[in-house]
Amino acid sequence: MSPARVDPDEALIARIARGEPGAADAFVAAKLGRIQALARRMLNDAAEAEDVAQEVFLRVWRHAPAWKPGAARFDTWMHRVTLNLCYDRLRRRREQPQAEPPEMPDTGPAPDRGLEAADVGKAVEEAMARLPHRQREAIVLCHYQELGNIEAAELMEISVEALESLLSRARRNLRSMLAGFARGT
Amino acid sequence: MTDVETMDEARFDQLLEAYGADPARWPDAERVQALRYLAATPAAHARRAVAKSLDATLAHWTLDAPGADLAARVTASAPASRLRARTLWISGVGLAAACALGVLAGAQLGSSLHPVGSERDDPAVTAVLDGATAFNLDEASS
Repeated sequence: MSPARVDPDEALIARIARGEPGAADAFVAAKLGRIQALARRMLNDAAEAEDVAQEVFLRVWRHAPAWKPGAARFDTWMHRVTLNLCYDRLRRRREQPQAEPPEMPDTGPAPDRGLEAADVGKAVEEAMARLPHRQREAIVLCHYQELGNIEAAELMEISVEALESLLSRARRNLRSMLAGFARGT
Repeated sequence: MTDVETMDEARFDQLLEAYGADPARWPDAERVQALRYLAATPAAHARRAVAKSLDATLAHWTLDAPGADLAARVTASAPASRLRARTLWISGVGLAAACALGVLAGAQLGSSLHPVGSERDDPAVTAVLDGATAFNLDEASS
């Protein structure tokens, strides 16, 4: 998948830039979930993800009047902004010594009940949190955000070959960590 | 990546390893070749099934849609929304000012029709006003 040359958000961004009523509402309806999900999966923290999403949209409102279509899609630019804000927060987390290690609950199903979708989802979330962050980022961008390989590689500032290597290692790690769950799905 | 005209077992497996089993996630430049390879290679289906199993597991990590309050906050931060809110605020202030001016003007008019103080104390003025009042009341009741 390569980045589309025609930006599907171009018309809406122009309407936002002109301050047209309803344009911002339509844009929030279309993009907020996607941006919040990216931040949530990168940070593993719902409250922080909300903060990041709000900040991203503040930058959208500021940036829209000056947006020049052509070089990159607006959605890609939003991903770039979101990732940068997430990197900042992840860096601050690393710099602040944690009093206790992050809570890693037992992700296995309770012995007295069967495997439920929520159990598997929680296990995936925990497994993703244990991945090296560049592997997690590659999976989040390509698998969950469904970006094309060229677009994801550009966002991560690596080659497509390096992206594929990260993805392959990430999927091997996930397969290993989730082996018990894959049988039940 | 490989030449778009070629697809072999090694490259097909690399695609599965990196992108999973869903052709929609495969690179645009190689999707058609990979699908042709898959169609022509029965053994590839078993290898794809392994990737598909992991895809299915990963799909269980779903997230709730953003809450209405977050969406409202984000929308309210847009310049158009802020402009709208400011316009409404200004309209409200304008309406309040107009009402206040109306009250003041009314009071002023009332004062001129019903003088207080020294003029009201003037017996002649009082007689005229009382007479007018009495006349009007009489007129209204007749």
